[in-house]
Amino acid sequence: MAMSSISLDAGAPPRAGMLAGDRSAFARRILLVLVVCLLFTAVFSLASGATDTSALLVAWALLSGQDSLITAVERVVILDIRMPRLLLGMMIGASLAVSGATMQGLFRNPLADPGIVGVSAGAGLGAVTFIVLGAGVLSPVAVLLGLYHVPFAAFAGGLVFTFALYRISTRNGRTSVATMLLAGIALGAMAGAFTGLLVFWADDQQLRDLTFWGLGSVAGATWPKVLAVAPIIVPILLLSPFMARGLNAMTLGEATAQHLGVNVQIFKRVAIVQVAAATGASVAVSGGIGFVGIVVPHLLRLLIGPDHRYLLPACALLGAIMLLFADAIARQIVAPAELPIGIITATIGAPFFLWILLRRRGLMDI
Amino acid sequence: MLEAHNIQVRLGKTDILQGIDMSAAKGQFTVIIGPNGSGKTTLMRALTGEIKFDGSARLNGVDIAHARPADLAGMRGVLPQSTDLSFPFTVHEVVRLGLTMGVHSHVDISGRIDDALSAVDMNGFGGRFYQELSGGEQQRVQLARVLAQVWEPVFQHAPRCLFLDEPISSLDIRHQLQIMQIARRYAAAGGGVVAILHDLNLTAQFADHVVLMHQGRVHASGPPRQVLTSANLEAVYGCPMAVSDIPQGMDFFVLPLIAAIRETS
Repeated sequence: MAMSSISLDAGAPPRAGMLAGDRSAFARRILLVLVVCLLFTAVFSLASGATDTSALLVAWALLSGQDSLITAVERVVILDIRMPRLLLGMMIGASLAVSGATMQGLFRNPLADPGIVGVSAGAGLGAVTFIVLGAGVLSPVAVLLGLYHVPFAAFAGGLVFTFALYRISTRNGRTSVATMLLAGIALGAMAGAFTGLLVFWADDQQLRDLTFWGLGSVAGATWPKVLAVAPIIVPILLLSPFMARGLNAMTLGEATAQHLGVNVQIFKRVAIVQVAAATGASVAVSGGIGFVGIVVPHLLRLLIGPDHRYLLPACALLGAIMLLFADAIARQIVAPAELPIGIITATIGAPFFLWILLRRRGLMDI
Repeated sequence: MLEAHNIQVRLGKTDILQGIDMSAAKGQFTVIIGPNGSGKTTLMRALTGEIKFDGSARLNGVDIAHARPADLAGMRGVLPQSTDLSFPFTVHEVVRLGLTMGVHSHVDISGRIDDALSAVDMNGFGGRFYQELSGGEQQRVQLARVLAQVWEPVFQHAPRCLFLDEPISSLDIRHQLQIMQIARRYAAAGGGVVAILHDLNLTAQFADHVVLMHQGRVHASGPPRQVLTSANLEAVYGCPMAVSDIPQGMDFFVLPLIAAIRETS
């Protein structure tokens, strides 16, 4: 029967007694486990690559300041190549997963993901606009924004598209899933068309930049890139716990959220800006890394339930872990060459998306 | 406690509400009745600050149209006609959503949730998934969520208000009576209750104050005996109704023993 199958989706088994149905203690334990996992994954990620270095030795050398334990080459490899890549990977993984979860909460649907409903495409259009026109027509703006001009353009593109999507698919406080997905297709196609037009105008050097960017990768990580997106992503991650109560209330619909004391109009605007900024920043530096925002929140909802007070931090942690893992696979699978990470996440994520869709098909109006 | 004057709501080109005056006093159970499309739900949506309206509406002296949602949430709870839930929360977690905002600093949250579930006869259901429940059970869980939000009928010397839009529409007779008693007790403890009902007999039995609506206006309001007259009901519902008489041509009908249950509670 369709109704009972949703329990398979629903996470930790209920307990008896006073605390029945309260999964928060379990969720807190899972958060702790994820923190530990992230630390191990980070050390592992720092230590693995073309130059073989013992993970423990690296950690010890860095923590104790005993540079003599590692060679100068190792030092450069670790501090200037792997470290920015590690930080960028963690920030992007966390921001993709958190913006996925936020968007799903805002649209009240587990299939809403910036990558699927055209927000990433909009952010991409913004980024491509500046990559191609940044030296020409738009150069005054590019100079003004300096390091931040591509992330900013991606943010602006993502913002316009998220807002348009919300306006199109939500009526009277209810979101139609079909309208949302179809509007996402149309918006994505529109962004694709304009992006194509810009690519058509681009010169050879710009085409090279665009190709590497568009494949979706954290391979080109540098400290400037880390510094360009950190001021956007870190505050958003820190802000996200304050969105949790509002997102929880929104699961009952906009009207009820307002009855519960949430200022829905302001809340929606903040959430939309947050999603657009996080997606824009991620897309600007790493291109289209898809499906992290849908796989991570869904897995965590299975595990700890949909309470955003725990879901959002857990998403940040697991998103970072997943991206570091995908990056490790991307580096190892065709070594010494590297696969773009977007290929890995799409290979895992797309079937996962279909799996969610099939399981929910009978349950909701999708 | 609740004072509304000349409430007007226009949706598109239709005047849904055309100048409603009504009030609801603390300690009273106020029931809004009227045929489908008479504007009952729209009126409630205006009074809870959900939609924009012309006219003035005040709850404990606070202007509803311009109040912060968080301030209103501390003064009144709202049970909508139907609520969908987009993610698989447990019953415990749904009731907990009632404690989203407002003054809850010294509340034993788990205790409050259990009390609220007991009040709607759902104790022991905390660990069940909301989507697995029947429609009537979901309705009662939502009421528990509303009760958890405004548990004390009087808080910091100010009465609080329950707004219930057809709270008993999908319930069996036992639970209908139980919800009516919860409303009565809430009013008896000094709070206010404003409910939309379709059942005229339950209205007659439980309400202190009745607002009879018709085509976006108040047709009559006052104590049940004055409002629920054959003349009023016939004019509004467009079908003949006998009040206080056994309908002619019927020699057999089921009447719940409301009076008996009221006294044993």
